Amino acid sequence: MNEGSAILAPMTGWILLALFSVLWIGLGIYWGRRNKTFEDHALAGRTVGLALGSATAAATWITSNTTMLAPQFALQLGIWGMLAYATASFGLFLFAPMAGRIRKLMPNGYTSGDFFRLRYGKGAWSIFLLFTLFYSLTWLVSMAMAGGILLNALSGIPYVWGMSVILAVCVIYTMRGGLAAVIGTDFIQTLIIIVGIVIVGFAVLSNVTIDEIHTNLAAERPALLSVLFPAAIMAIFNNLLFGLGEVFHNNVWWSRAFAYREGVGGKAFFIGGLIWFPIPVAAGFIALVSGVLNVPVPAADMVGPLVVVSVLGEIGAIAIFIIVFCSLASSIDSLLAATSDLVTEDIYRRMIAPAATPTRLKKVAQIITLGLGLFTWAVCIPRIGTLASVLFFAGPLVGAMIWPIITGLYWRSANRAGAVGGMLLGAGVGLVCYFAIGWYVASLIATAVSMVWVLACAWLSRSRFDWDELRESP
Amino acid sequence: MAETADFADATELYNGTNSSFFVSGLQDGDYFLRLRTADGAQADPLVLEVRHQSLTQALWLALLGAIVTIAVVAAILRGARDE
Repeated sequence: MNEGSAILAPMTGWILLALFSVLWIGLGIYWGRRNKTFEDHALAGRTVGLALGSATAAATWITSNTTMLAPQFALQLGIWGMLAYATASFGLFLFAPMAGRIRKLMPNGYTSGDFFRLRYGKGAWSIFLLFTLFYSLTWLVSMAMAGGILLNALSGIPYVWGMSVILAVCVIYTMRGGLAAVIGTDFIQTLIIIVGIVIVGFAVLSNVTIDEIHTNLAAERPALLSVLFPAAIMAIFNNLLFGLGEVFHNNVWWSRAFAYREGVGGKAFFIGGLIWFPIPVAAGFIALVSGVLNVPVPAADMVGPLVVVSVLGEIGAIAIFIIVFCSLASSIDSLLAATSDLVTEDIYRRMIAPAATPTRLKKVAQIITLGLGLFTWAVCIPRIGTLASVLFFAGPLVGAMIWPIITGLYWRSANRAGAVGGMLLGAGVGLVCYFAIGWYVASLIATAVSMVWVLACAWLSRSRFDWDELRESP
Repeated sequence: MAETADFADATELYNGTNSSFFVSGLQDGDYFLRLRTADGAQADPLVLEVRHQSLTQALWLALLGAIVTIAVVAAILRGARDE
């Protein structure tokens, strides 16, 4: 296979793109028809059950990174790299007990910003908003950009068209259907991704044996099997803590904690983690097969699709196209919805128009979703490849927020000085280490520094927080 | 690619028209790579130096990571005790 040629005919790509676009938009309009207020739109009326709740937790966490970057991790860092990527599921497992606590303490809450504002005051809230908007917008831009690049690589659809279509589809159904549409489409996307990965996994295993893979790796890429591969060892906890920081702070996950029916959150996040865990392992395994199948890999990020196509031919190319499209849509829609709710609640409602009606807030949330889509589109148009790597800067920022969130939810002694200092010191030292040492230590150092500061402030503190202050009226 | 400069132990990595090839998983050492065109012309050898990061540093960072992670898990599982 030549690196310059797409693995699927452009016409097939366009037909698949059109079919799924119509499906998602149609479902979004259908599921959004009952939304009247901001609470309906942003939190699906706070009545999401276990099946939809588990599926949306898993689907949102299955990004194009899970299906494309996990194989790259395996090819670069070996068995440890594959497991390091899978540790991101710990974010969902550990958020499970926190979701129940959040729902109990903040029965009328809307966003993770509400928590920072009520728990730590406006100073910490401002820092949180700065960090989370940086993270959310870079994640959104990187996903949309990945969409254009991947659809182009898979089917030859021009980058700008692929990126624009996938973004437009997600914006339209998120605007119309709100969180209900996001969760509903996530459910279907999860089923498609899981079935696709299982079929691909069995197809690959029917072509080679584990012994053959091991022999090939031992001869050609021995470090990938090494238990003492230094870069891979460093990646494990850094990746784990990056994942914890992402889940613990972001409104994508808090909005779900608020939207689930009472008693559902803990189970849904735990099951979501169980569904998610094997996916990067399976995707990573596919990369390790490339050598024994004699698949030439021109760039690490294309190893997954190339192996699948070599095993399954055009059927495999169609499967990969659909899996990638579903992975991208399930993350872009969640980010659009959660970020627009955050801006609506934390900036518009709390800073600009406190008396806005629920209907007005819903309208504003829809306009902000459109604005976010247009902003992302404008940033993605020039296709600056290095922009996606900016997301890695967010590692120290999100790592530094882990301890202020945990202690803020469970300890009365956690205080403002601890949260503000923990976030600023952790992020600052983490960013210095990012440039001085490398990305693989940044989240870890940021979390460790933040932890020491937050714990010291809590132990020295004489103040005791009153949990009722988190029960703000709707 | 070979592990000796005289290419006595050379193996073929790729044969085709791609303009790039991804290599990973090599142990510490110097590796020699050579390109050959279809009509037999050869490019000058390219030396690839592989030096992994310090294992000691990696293990210290893993220990720090384990401590921070255990503390996070303990804080969450312990929950709120002073209500």
